[in-house]
Formats: sequence, structure tokens, C-alpha cells
Amino acid sequence: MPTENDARELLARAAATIVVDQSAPLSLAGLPEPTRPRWPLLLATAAAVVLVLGGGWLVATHLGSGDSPPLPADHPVVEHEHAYASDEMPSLVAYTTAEARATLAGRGVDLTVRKGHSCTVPAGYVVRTTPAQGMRLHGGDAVRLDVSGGPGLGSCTVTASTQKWSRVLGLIRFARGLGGPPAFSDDIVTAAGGMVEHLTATEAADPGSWTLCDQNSCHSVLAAIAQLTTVPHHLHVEGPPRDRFLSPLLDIGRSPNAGRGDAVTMCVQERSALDSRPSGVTPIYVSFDPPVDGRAAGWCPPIEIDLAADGSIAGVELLHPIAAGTS
Amino acid sequence: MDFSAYVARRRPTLVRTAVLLGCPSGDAEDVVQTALLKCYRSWRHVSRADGPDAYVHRVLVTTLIDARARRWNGELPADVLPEPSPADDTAWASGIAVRRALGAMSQEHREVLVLRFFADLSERDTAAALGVAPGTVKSRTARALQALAPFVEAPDAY
Repeated sequence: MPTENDARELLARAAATIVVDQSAPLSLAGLPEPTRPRWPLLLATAAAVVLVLGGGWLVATHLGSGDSPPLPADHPVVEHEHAYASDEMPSLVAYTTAEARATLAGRGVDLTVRKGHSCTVPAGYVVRTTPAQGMRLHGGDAVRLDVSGGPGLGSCTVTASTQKWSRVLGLIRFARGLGGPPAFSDDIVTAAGGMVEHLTATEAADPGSWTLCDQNSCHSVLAAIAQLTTVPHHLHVEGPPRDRFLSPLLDIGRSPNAGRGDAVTMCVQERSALDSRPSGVTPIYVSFDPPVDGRAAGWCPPIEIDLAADGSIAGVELLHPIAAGTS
Repeated sequence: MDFSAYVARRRPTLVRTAVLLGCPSGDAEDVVQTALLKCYRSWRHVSRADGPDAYVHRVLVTTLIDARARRWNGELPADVLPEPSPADDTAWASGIAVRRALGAMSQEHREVLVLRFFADLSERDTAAALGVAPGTVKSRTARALQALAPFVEAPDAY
């Protein structure tokens, strides 16, 4: 078995066969160094944005089309929330009990609500549904909502996890249009589709600001979160429907796949800060674990959420493309 | 670290990394240029880190994935590589053989080998660059190293 030093030597040998044109124009090396923006420039930019938005709103109002899409028609955002038909169980991820009841009202289902302790999901939020999202739903069918009653007395030892999950939950609700913007830092990094952009807290409060476009496509990490939380999980599953829903892991940091083969799991896994993160920022990797015929799929976190020291959200990044229809 | 200084120092290595990751030589310069331009826009954020390599390689990998999806139909293996190859240089011939071995590997194995042992990223940085868990990097690395065993056990054969 080759050692690591063997591998380094072999790869160095392979690399030596690659000719790099040293005389290639180093246009990037001549770029001005990125500098910290100055307040006057920020104020002028903000004023310009207000003027442009105000002007745009006036024009749109006069033209009678106040809800014009922010993107060209030939560049729809690649990621999108999954829409369910009226005879399918909707996705109630990040819904409050009241919101879930309102969503199911009028469908004629036999609804029961069961409350249980959760060390991560705040009280009042749905943690599981039976049947799972995407299952066929007919009038008279029994539907059960498992709702968090918050942490039980003495049953949770990691209170910080509850707070971090709350941040993630707030972001999911914002992404799905269920709630307002969560606490954002002054400088938020958003990445999707290989593109990276910085947003101010004000910009981040507008979901449209999260859309990043290149010449070929547009991506939004917010839309990706909405897609991940609403993807139908009955795909590729044979046999009778099972109880599947999104739930956070109680034990932060453990292997997310262990023993979770029959449940769709949202993993909130803390890691030590990466080298590329500013000091004080804690990344959280968010992944979904769709079961395939009862077997857990490989873990591959598609979303990274960075929390600043004060708990505000400093970065939300789509780590790699999301396949349509799956996570 | 200044962006210009980083580019001047690391660009050749990044180009070679791109090629070793499976990017055609003719496209590698463009791919690296695109990746660096993406990094430039957030360099203020990147440069606050101890070392920007992990971030830059993550962007490089995603840029490669995008480029592969849009422009490439897969690598075309060739008996004769386009670079000049001194026939009497055994080190050169060995290097070409290693590149062929990399080309025969799965993309996952190739990525961990190149990022760990050529780009010199740590397991944690490699995991961040690839969007996988560090444990996954470790297991892939162990399996990928086995593919290089012939070069160590019988180096003269290559």
C-alpha cells in the first residue's frame, strides 16, 4: 500500500508532465485589491438603490403590473419548492401547529395532534407527519401531527443546539415564505451554482437578492432550501407507505445515518470552524437523508449555514447542485 | 494575503490541479481563471482566513463540475498526450503513467488524491472542498491509494 509520501511523489511526477504557460496573461494578478467599502459609498449605493426601487415601483404601478418577475423569463431559478396536488400530503416542514391545521383544513381528514419533547425543535412546531409529504391523501384519511412541546425538564443537555436549530428553522421559514427574515449579519456570504456574492442585512431581507445568475442559469440557495424541505420522499420507495418526515438529530455531531433508515432526517451537524471562515463564525451543515427502499442514502450535506458569534446568520451556501426530485 | 500575490504564486499549481482532476489541458487555464474571478469577488471574506486554499479549491471544484456539465461530454482517453514528452525521460514516462492511472479512477477517488496529495489540503479542507464529511475523505483516500500501489511495488514497470 503506498504511503502518503509515495502518493505525493507520484502526483508531483504526474503534475510535472503538465505544461503551464507561464507567459499566459496574468490579468487577474493585475486587478486592484478588494478593499473594504466606505460608508459614503455605501450610503450613495443605498440611496441609488432606493431611487431605482422607488422608480421601478412607480413605473410598475403605472403599468399595472406590480408583481413582475425579477428575472428574465429564459433564466428561471434552477432550484424551486415542490408543489403538491390537493390530493397529496403537503410538506409541513417548519410549520407551526396552527399553520399546519390551517393548511389541512377543508381536506376532510381525520386530524390528530400528538405533542412530545424535542431537544432541538422549538415548542409549537411540527416535527413529523403521518403520512409523510407527497403521500396520497383522501377525505377521511387519518393524519397525525407530531408537535414539539419543547425540551423536557432535565432531558436535554445541549441547550445551545436548540438555539442553533432555531436559527436554521427561522431561515427555512424565511425561505418558504412562512416568516420574516431571521437575524442576519451585516455581511452575509451567499453561494450557489459556483457563484459567490456578499449581501448586506437589508439586501438579505429580500429573497430576490439571493438569486445569483451567470450567462447560463440562475441559482438561489434560499430556493434550494425550499426545494430540499419539500421534495417528495416517497420517490423510489416500494411497499406500503411509511412514516417519514423531517426531523433534526438530537445528538449533534453523531453520524447522521446511524439507525435512521426509515426516517427522512435533517442533520444539523456542527463542525469546528473551517480555515476559510472568518474567526468566530461557526458553520452548520444541513443535509437530508432520504431513505431508498429502507436504506439510508449516503450523507452529502448540500447546504452550509454560517453563524456569527452573536448567533446571526453570516453565510448560506449551496455546496453542490441538487438533483431534481431528490435531495 | 493579497489577491494578486496569491494568483501569481498559486496559479500554476491550480492549473495542474485542474488537469489532474480531469479537466482537459486546453480548458484548464480558463477554468482556473473563472474560479479565481469568483474568488476575487469575495476575497475580502476569503483573505480573513488563515489560508485561502480550501476556499479556492472548493470554488475550483464547483467550477469544474459546472464546466463539465456544460461543455464536456467526458474525457477522451488518448494514447498520446498533447504535451511534449521526452521519450528518454523515465520520470516523465512515469508521470504520464500516473496520469493515466488517475484517469482510470472514479472521479471521487481522483479528487481526494489530487486535493490531499497534490494541492496539499488537509482532510478537513478536502472535505469542505468536495462537500463531503471528513470521514468520507479518509475512506476514499484509503481506497484510492490502492490504485497507486503498482507504481510503488514495481516502479520500473512504468
